Amino acid sequence: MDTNPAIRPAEPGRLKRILANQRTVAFIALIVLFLFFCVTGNNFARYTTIMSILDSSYYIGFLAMGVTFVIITGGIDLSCGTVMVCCALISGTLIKMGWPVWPCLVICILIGGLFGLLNGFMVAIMGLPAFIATLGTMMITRGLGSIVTATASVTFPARRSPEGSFRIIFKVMGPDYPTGGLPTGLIIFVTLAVVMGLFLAKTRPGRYITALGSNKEATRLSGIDTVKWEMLAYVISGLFAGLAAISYAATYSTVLPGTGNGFELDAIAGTVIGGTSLSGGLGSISGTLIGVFIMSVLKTGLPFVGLQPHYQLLFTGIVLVIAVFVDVMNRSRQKT
Amino acid sequence: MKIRSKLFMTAVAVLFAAAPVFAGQYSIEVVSKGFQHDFWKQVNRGCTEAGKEFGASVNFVGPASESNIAEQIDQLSNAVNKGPDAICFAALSPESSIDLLFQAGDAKIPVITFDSNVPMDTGGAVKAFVATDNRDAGAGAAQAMYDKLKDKLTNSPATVRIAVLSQDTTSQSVGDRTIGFIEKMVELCGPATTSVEGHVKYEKRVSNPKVILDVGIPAETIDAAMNTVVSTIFNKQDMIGAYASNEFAAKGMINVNETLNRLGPDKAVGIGFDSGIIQVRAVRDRVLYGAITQNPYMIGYLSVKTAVEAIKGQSVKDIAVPFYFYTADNMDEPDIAACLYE
Repeated sequence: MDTNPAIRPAEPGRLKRILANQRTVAFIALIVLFLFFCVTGNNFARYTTIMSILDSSYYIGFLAMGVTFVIITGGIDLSCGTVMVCCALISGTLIKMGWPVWPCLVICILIGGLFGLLNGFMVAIMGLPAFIATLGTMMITRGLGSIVTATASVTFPARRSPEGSFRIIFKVMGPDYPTGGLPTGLIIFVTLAVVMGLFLAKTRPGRYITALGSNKEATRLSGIDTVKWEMLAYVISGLFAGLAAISYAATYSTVLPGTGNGFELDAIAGTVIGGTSLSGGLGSISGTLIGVFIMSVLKTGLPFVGLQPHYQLLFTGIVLVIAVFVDVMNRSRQKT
Repeated sequence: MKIRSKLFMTAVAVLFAAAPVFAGQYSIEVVSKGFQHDFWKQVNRGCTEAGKEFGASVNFVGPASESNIAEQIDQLSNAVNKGPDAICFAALSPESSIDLLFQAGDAKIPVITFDSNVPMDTGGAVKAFVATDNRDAGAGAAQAMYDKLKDKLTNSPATVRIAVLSQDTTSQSVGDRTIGFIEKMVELCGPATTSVEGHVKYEKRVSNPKVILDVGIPAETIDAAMNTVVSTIFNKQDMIGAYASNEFAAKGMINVNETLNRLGPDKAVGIGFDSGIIQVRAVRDRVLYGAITQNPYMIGYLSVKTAVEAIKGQSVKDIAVPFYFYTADNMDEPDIAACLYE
């Protein structure tokens, strides 16, 4: 009867089933991949390897969690990667100037939020296409990062220096801890994922954001302040980019101005692999995390079976196409 | 079901693609700075050759670009986790790799650093450092340029300018070559009348300078960004010399010169670093006066050789691999020709 896919949320039963389906497939793929590398990869099944997977997942994971909200509204945030690098560069420069570390980290997240606000303002109030607005922010943040740092790289305080204590947010290392460290970041990561997952699925603002992506006009006509909730999605993406900046700095120490391009596509790919639809109105945080981990297990695992890292791109591309294909198949089946 | 079987097929493809791996007595993971420059290809060749000679299976990896610190750290992390007999490592960012080197130290994996060292490793993982003495090499380039330009540098009534072009401010090797050149040039021209400008990291201004060292460093390791930096300096009419501290910067210098035509005999003196087809040709055509060349093949070869010695428990020490200054006149001498690559 309804040929318009935008009215799908009216059938929660079917919607849920499809969502579960896509996410389940992704989850099975993740497990299969992990087991495959455990069996075939020499020394893959080790505590330190799992730590490596986590270390390289945090920042993409945070970016992806944030961008999931934007994608669900039917928008896109191309700026999240460079916003992340810009946040890290600004807060790192402040630390270099002698500011205390912890307040700088709060500033780091807030700067991300400000860029999110800028994106939200341009999309929801000025009415710019999200692609263009966030492309603009991408360029602005890249340029700003280079200006603030005078193109020099920024190195965050080393773990062994007193100012380096902020790294315990993501990993505790030392002689009293296992080699590879304790993954304290996992607690933050999982907690935030649960909170944001519940926020998206169970709260009113979360449902409004989803409804926006299904049919903005219908949502507006039913008396919901679409401008407010659309802006909120971009602000969330910005705040998470700020958080990602902290995890990136804690893991990789040195941040180069002019970089950050490409991270947003990794985040978007993770989101889409996890079952969030690029046309909006459909998606979940748990799916996004599965997508992100599929990518980092591939990245970490392939060298263990003797493949050069560029194969990661190849296989991630294949996984991405398969995942979206599943989505398309399910939808066409639903229509008939 | 259909999808799952597809995923399974993907997995099988991985398995088959992974099958042919050269086996040796020792396993050595080499984490370099890249693949894209011919320099790293030569290092790779040296590593492979030494691997064959000393019975080690060498796995050579590197990030897609020298800005990709995160990618290199993930690769180093992988290398440590694989638990090889030794690791050879060229650090893009020493600070970023320090935790992993401590981890390697804990796991008793000897690390040989090459090209760029990690001086702050106190965990004992780094056994030796194999590289060109980059400060010396930079100073060598300064001396060669000074000898060629002595008259203009000491007797010019007006202020003259020398471009100092560098890829980035992060890597230790590139930084050393830049600072080595700057310090030597300042020393030769006289500290009181030589002003270093253009980049905060190296800046040391003097009032009423006779010589200006104009440092140009792009925000990002991509050709377009380098070219913009070079054009800005090449458009200043008082430029009489230009030095590029690696293949990437030299390529930018030569590319821009094709349009602006500032280098050559009777024009500004250009000195490059390393080789690569564009640079070698520019030296042969006398567009560049000359270039410093390292011996990348020897760096790779000696790194793996030293790694094998470290595995066997022999005592190893730092190796300074010699460099040469080549011009159109001496580039075909066998010792030098062997270090040049296209």
